[in-house]
Amino acid sequence: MMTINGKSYSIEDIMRPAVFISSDATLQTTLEKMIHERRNSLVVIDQKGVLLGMVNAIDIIKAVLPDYLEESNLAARFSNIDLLKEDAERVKDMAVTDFMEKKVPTIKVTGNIIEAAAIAAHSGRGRIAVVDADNKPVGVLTRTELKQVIGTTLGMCGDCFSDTADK
Amino acid sequence: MTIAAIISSLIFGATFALILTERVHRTVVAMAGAVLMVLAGIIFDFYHPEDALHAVDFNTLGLLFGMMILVVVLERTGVFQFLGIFTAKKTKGKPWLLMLALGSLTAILSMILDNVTTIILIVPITIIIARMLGISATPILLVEAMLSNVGGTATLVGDPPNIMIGSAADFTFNAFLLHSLPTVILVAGITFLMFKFLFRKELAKEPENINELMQMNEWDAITDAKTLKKGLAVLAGVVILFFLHGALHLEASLIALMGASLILFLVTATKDPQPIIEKTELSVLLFFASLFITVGGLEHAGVLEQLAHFITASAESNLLLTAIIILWVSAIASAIVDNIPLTVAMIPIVLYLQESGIPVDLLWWALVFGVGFGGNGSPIGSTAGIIVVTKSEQTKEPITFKKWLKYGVPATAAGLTIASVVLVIFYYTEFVNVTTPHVEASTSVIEEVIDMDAAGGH
Repeated sequence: MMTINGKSYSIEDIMRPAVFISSDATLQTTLEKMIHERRNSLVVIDQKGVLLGMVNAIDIIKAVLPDYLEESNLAARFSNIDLLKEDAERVKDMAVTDFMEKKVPTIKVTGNIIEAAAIAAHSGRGRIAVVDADNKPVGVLTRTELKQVIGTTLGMCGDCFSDTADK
Repeated sequence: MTIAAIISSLIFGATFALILTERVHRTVVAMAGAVLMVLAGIIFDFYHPEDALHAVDFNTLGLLFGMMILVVVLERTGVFQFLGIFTAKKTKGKPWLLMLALGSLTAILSMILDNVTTIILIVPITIIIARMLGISATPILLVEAMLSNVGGTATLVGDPPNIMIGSAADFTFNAFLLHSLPTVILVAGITFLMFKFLFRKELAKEPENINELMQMNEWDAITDAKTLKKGLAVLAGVVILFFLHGALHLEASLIALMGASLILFLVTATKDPQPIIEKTELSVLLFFASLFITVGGLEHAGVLEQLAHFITASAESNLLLTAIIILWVSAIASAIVDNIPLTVAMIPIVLYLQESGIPVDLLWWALVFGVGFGGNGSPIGSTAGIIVVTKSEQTKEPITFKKWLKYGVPATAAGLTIASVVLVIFYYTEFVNVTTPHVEASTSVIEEVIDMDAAGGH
């Protein structure tokens, strides 16, 4: 819990709800959920709800593009949409656990907001999974929330969190 | 066997075995081997730091480093992708012509550039074109992998073993063009013909979407025309000087370093060249230097001399047979293990044979062909092969170990057979010196090699 300008904030107060995807999902179902939920990032959990990883839109892009194109932007200039379709078809049944990010920065829901900021700065990731005592994810902290914390400390907006619509 | 011989053999053997396992990176292993060898040398008094310094062939390292800088500058301009698309369009997408054209381009580029760079640049374009045309990429990729190794064997600068052998044997750029290039053309020819037959089904397929290929604009690949012009001008100058280096009595390494120095001046005169240097493979240079030092210890402990004595009797009684044995043994070994340590270990052995008055030119060429063509005997025999196999895993028809054995091995065996015939021709036409030289002559060559090492050390 930290107090900014007389108001108390905990991670639980500022985190956004996580959108989950089950570990038996495929690339196609993952992509469907991302598009449907308008999210670039989903939290991957097993049957018991324990955190396994996170999957980001960029992970989908990497899974679809063959290595030889990822390593050569110049060659990719000459590829076309038909080949992209073929590549997407080839990997659409791949399990989400095969292309998700397994090393996800996490913070306990009871943790400190500054610690979350330090984790974000250190890991270079924009997303931190918020987990409970059983390592079950309960929410996500993104750059947005951490930015809002800093904005609030500088008094830019009385309560930057309620000012934003995407909470 | 002396204690020095036993200890140095153990260190070399362990280094070599660890490199083979690929569990630890080869540069890390070789460096540890080199440091251990010098330490053991000091303790048992058979090898000292100044000997280790002399064991490093700075001509090889300088040539490699100079060419690496030139290639790093050129590859960023997109010129190689340009050439790939330009060549492919000329074939109008006909699979057999496409294989012939892209294979030949790979071979020609590998004569000047290192094979791995050539392959990394040409493979993505090849896969895109084959997929667009709806034809099999397998024969083209396989031919590219094999011809990058074959093409590299044609010139003094095409492949690290050639640079090392050329440096030790004092062979000029033109000597390679005269002896190795014609052999390479024959081997490339037989490779194409065999693939035309072995892949007759795949190559008979009518290409689709030829328009897509013809609409590709190769000029879209060029990212930096200014640097490209400078790079090509410097490369042309370097190649011309390579032709003349024998006559001018300039080491090939000096020419490559002149080119590197000039290009850095032209493209990054006011800025730190660190970003370019970072892209060169300094790890490879460290690996080579470490190997030279490790093998140098073996040499100083007298191990290689004993091995050489072993071969001397055979070489004296039947030079041609010895050459053919060296060809096939080094080829088979290169198909299984890295050909660089093999070359580094073989060089002092051949130099000992030379010292004992055997005309070794035929043996040098046997070694050049063996380590050059042998890497094609398996998918793990060369880095170019490993890269092609890995990249092909994401196409519809991955090049498996089995596929390589089915198509690559017969082509390699045919190539080695041609190389054997070439050695026979060299021998009977006396195209290379096969008569016992005067002892004075042979000693002077050794001295020259030693002088060269010493000169490089300063």
